[in-house]
Amino acid sequence: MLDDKDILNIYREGGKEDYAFNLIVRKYSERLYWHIRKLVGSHEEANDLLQDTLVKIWKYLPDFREESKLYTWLYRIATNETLTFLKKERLKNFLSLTDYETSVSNKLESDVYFNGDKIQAELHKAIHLLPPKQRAVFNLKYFEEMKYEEIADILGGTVGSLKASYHHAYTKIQKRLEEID
Amino acid sequence: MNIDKNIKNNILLEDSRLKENPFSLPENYFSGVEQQVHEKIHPAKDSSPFLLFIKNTKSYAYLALSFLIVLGIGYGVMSLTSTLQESSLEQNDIFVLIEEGYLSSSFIENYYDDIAVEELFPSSLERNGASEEDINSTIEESIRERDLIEYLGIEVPESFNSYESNYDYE
Repeated sequence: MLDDKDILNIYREGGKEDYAFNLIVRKYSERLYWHIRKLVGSHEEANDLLQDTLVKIWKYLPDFREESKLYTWLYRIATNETLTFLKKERLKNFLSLTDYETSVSNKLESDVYFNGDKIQAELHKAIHLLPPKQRAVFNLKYFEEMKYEEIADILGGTVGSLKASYHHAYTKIQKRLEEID
Repeated sequence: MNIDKNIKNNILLEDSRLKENPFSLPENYFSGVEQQVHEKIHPAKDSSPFLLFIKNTKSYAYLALSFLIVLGIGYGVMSLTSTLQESSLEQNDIFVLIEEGYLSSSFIENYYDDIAVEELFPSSLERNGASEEDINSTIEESIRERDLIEYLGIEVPESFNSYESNYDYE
């Protein structure tokens, strides 16, 4: 598989934009999908957000100046799309006076594409109860094992603030998991 | 200070299952993503010429439809107004006919022949004890041609004086 530099060179050759973009989609759509999916939970929402993300990547690719790595730039777009969606969802839940915890729990239990056991279900319920940005920090560090510098490049903020955010998230989840039998 | 080190020896670190992906996907999901995104990026290239034409001309079609609606309303108003104008012309014709004496101009004139004087002024006639015939004959007897000529203020020809002298009103 071509590395990011080669793909960007093909993109800038002229007349090969579609081909280069398809290479990016093939290389990164799966990673971006799972990043989005772990943030939102449902496949349908993750699918819509992935497509919106890829459309935005196509739209803004001509302006990409390689000031950051391609994959952190792609993650930044995917994360921003998802966080915007999650904020709207939270507001909708707040306005409809639905109990957010119950709603998260029901959503995960009724998801036909969730095959985890009890402790995995509890972990993902706990993740979904975190504020959206804290959730993103936790997922990028815990599941993707990214460095704080890379997370800072995706989400913004300082390494120190991201470490604090991860610590808060980690402690909350840990406490919740300890409560289950 | 390493925050991660402070929360060591816990479930999140000890249970390796927690890092596994518990979610699944519809079969061959990723093979369809490329095509779906391509359709979103280049929607026009994949549409049939007819659909493309409809899509491109949709705004013009709405504009044309609005224009036709306005035109229809305008035509309706014009038709209504012209009907009213025709009616007023007919009315004008009626006035001309009235002026020329072909039509009666009022209810009384129209129905004059059918109305008896007694019906119009019953109390005055009863008070004087006079009939319609009496009133008509009184008017005919008391008014002379000379009175009419003086009333109208016209010049009397010489021949009329000789005519009048031969006619005894008294």
